[in-house]
Amino acid sequence: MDELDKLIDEVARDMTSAPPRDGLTRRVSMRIAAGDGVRSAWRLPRPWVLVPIASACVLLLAVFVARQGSVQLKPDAVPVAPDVGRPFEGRRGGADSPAPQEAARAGDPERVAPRNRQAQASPELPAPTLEPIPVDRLELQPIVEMTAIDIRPIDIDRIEITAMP
Amino acid sequence: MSNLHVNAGDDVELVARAREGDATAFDQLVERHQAAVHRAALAAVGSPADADDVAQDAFLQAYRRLHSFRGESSFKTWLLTITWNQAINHRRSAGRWWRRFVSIEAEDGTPFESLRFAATGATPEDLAAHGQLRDAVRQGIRALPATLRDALLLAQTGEHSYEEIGAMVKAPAGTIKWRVFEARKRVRQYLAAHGHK
Repeated sequence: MDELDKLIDEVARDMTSAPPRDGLTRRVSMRIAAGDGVRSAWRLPRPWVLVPIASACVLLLAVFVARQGSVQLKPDAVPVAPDVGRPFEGRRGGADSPAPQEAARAGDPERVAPRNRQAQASPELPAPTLEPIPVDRLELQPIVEMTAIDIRPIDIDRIEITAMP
Repeated sequence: MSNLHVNAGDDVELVARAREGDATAFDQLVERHQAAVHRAALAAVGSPADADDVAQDAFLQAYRRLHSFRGESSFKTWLLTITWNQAINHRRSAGRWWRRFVSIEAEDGTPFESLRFAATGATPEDLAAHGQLRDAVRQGIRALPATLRDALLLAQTGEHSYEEIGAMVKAPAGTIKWRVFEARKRVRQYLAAHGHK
């Protein structure tokens, strides 16, 4: 065994050389007398392990709160009244419900879409009106026309296979 | 001080008395084997405070299971097997495992190495170089795979025979010898890779 191996053994010995704390026998007998159970391996980590974790959590919370607080309405924005108590109408009306533009023309303010209501609330901007575009017919041509695939047989006169070396 | 040759016959008598409810008999068993138990626990968990917890739990569990000890192996081997299982459970908890590798110094703040060369007349440069080499050896041991590191540390405690280590980690004694040999070889390779010839 060379000097380096001796040093390795010596360091390994040092790594387990710490003696048990005084009073181990007394602590064991006290726990036996108290009917103490074996402690679970999953115990709460010591404070110095918890402190960095807790700090990181607080930091994340602070960033989250700061970002939430930085969301502000524009000065000219008009808050929209919540549609509480109204039945859901979907993005488009059904077959028998008029389109939002038609409802607006018909003077039914309750059936106007929220975006239009917001526009109406601003006095400077007139409510945009979109006229319907008359379309007679839509013709869509197929992009690719499939034709029959014709595969002709390949004529092979002879196959030559040379011997492996 | 090695307890490798604790009289097994005395243990049998103490176990018999402890089973009959003699508390002082079990106290004597704790006194006799606490060093071996503590060093085995320390080899597994790396921290003296955690090793103390493991040792307490191991003795407590041994006391509870005393009726199941049939004397097929020595009491010490049986106790060390309980200790090792307890230590491995303890080591598997993520926090302690992490702490073991984060911590470079021993818990009391003193490095593992001791200045035992102070009285040899070596120059400060020699001492510094030797200290660095010892640190590198310690890091090399820490970097070993768990099976090799456990075998090396347990073998060097001076408290456990290869047979006892084999019983603890559930491997033949020959395998333990090979692991110790392999561990030394890997540490030498680690040192060479880190510029220590």
